[in-house]
Amino acid sequence: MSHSPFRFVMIDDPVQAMDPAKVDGLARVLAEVATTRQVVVFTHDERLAEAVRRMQLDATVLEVQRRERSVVEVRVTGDPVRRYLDDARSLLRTPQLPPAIADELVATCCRSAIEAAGLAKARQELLAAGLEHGEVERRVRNAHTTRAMITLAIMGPGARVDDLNKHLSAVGGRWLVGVLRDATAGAHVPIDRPMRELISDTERFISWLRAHEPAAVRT
Amino acid sequence: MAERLEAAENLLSGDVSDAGGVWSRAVAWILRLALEQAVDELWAQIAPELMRCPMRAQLLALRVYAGPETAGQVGALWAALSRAAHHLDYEMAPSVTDLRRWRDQTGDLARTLELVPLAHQPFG
Repeated sequence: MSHSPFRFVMIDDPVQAMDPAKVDGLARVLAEVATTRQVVVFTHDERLAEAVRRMQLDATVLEVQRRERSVVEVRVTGDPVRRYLDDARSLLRTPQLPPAIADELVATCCRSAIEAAGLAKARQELLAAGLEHGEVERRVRNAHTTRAMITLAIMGPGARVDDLNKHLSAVGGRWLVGVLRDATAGAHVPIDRPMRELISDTERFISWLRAHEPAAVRT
Repeated sequence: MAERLEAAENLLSGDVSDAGGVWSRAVAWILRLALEQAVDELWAQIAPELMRCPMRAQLLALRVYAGPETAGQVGALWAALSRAAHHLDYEMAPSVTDLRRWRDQTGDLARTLELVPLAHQPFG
């Protein structure tokens, strides 16, 4: 590497079938190389991007989506939570969809934002508790619903989803239960809360979630 | 139902710029809702109490009323749409090819489910 005249490195799909624990190591190596060269990585595996974000490495993640007729869209991937909420706000104002459908999509964006925040929190907490990467990924993949993900994030791997509401009320207040209920139900049934309010209440929920320190991770 | 499929079509073709980066997942969400609606409309006619049950239970009941093949197709499509709809971090968004196929399958299954009550005429 040090003898190469090129000031950039381009890597195609480095993490295919890689052991999850090694992905972090790869991210660190690439960050090291990136101090002296431009590093460009192509991948369809999300773990490298997740590692980069979690380890707060200085990298830009671009998402490439191909539409019909080979039209290609490139977006900078910021915080997925932020993106869901921004999309929710623009859907709120759109005349391009029937209002009932736009509302369903707003609620689903809110649910996805909560799920994304829950996922990041779950990974953070479980890794901090000493679980192996592979085990963390297994737990996270087995959380099939938004409520299951939040349960995993704040109550730990052994907890039951049925106990979540009671726990939320105890550690943060009843309002959390209401927001989670409306965000998860709002895509299926009409809810009382106006959509604009649901978006800001979702933001409050996520702020609370990010700041919350679970007592101890029960394994 | 028709409204949902039309909205999915508009999102797929790029006519809804306000959806931002979420258009591909939004198509999956709308299609899943349309599929659930098709199943609910069936229950409304032949077994209304099933509308409140969890999807897994509904899929089991569907085997009895619509036959194992149709129930299997509904289950597989619903699972695929759910997977595309739930956020798994930096997993890639569903491709246009998948979305088009799912959109067509949703339409086909909705039509199939519409015909199910005709096979279940009450006796006497």
